[in-house]
Amino acid sequence: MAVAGCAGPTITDGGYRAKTAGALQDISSALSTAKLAMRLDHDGRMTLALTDTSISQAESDASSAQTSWQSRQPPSGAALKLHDAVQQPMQDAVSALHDLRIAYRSGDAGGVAKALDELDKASDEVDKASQAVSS
Amino acid sequence: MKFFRVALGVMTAIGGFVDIGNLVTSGITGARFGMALTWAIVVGTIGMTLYGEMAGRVAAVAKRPVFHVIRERLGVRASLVNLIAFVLLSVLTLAAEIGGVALVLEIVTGLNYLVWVPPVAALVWLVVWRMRFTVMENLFGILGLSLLVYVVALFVMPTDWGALWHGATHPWVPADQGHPMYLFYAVSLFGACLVPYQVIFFSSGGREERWSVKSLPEMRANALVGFPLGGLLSIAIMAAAAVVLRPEQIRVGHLSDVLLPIAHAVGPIGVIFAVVGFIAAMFAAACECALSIGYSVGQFFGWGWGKEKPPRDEPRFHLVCLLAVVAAAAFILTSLDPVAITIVSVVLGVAAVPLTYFPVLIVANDRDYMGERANKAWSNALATVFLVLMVVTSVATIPLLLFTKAGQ
Repeated sequence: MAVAGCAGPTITDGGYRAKTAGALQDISSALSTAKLAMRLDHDGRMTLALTDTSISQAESDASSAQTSWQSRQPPSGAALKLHDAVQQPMQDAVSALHDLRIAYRSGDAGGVAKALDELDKASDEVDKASQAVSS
Repeated sequence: MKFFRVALGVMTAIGGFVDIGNLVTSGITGARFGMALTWAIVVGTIGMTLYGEMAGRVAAVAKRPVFHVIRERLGVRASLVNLIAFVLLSVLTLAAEIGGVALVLEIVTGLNYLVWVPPVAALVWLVVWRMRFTVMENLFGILGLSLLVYVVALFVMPTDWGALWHGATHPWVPADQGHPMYLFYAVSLFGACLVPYQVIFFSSGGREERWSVKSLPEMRANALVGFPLGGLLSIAIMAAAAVVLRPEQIRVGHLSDVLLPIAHAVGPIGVIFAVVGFIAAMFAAACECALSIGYSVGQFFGWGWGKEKPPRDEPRFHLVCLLAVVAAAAFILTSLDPVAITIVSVVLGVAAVPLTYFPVLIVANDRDYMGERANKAWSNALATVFLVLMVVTSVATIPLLLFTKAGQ
């Protein structure tokens, strides 16, 4: 368990890039989970509690991936540029998931629709960032 | 009546085969690798069936449960090390099962899973203490069959069976995963099928039910039909995740993620079936795990043991079961993620598997104990191949665990 929880130092640009790609992948997965859960919920295929749990856990996963990534110091100027390019898409994704959870729990249909739009935009941004990191 | 009893035993074995280890590893690997790791479930299920049948036969013919055999064949010191490893590992597994039931209750009620840990642990102890062995086995085994909703889901969805079959029969390593990750999850699936507590429970349960040579057909039906069908259920969970979650690039990290394919295919009624199946499978596994710890300690020290014996007659056995439940509940209350605990416990289980299975193979060959029911040449050859595979896998387990950071 300790092994699974460790975040070791990142001392090379390649290592930092790999960690960034991993964090983006985790956030992208969380966004996809929330979108699938909401789509199924909209089609009447979920239970209320399952939708709530799925989007809460998606928010928690994305937030934890972002926090873990932010705790790493970029090792060079190039890595710092990468950090700056990726930071905003990650933040937007976490915020969109946060807004979705709040709106869903309060039964605010308008808020949910708005949050889903934010979620789509955040997904596009995260995908673009992922492609940029991989290229 | 006999047919009914055999059918009941088979159904119980199917439901009993699947626990949190199978649910989590099949869900994760289906979403990450598609069907590319089906072979690991097939190999693990064949191993479990082979050694489960052997342990059951030893229990029925030689009237010896597994830990008696281990102590006799490995000697007191080596088997004490084995016992300590088994108990620690089983407490970890028990913690994961209790945490798993609590997580599902969180999905149902919205209350944080940690709130549910003490009542679930208390209920596990109550069932271990009060419920009759056969009632416990049959009730949860049959409720566990609700998981067949995963098979139904595959037929309800527009499943591309050709693609699933191709994925299962042409294993490949996805470019974004890498060989170490692929092997780590192969080991986790293998470990989820070969959990040591299951073989201890199967053979000790056989003694609880007073198996004799006459019970061999029933025991064989449980092992040779029930376990492989349980393996098929694990494959169905993997396939449902492969069909629904993999195209969306969702990585499974929670039990709730494993429910999404059912919601997609069957809707809320399917989710209810799956939730009942999850709870039954994990709750039954928690009871079996607690009992296996009591069985192993009782058998090692030569105490009287058995669920059918009241606490007043065998207080040490029941105290060990109680302490195991308390320790597991305390461990899960530290708020460590039950899914992460599951992955670590199934993988570490692989490292310990040869120590449990090797003595079974030796005694199953001993004609002084087994007479004409000793292993045949073909089953020895197969069992030896599996033992070598288990040893190789157990050696690779810890490096893979460290290198992949437990599959992250």
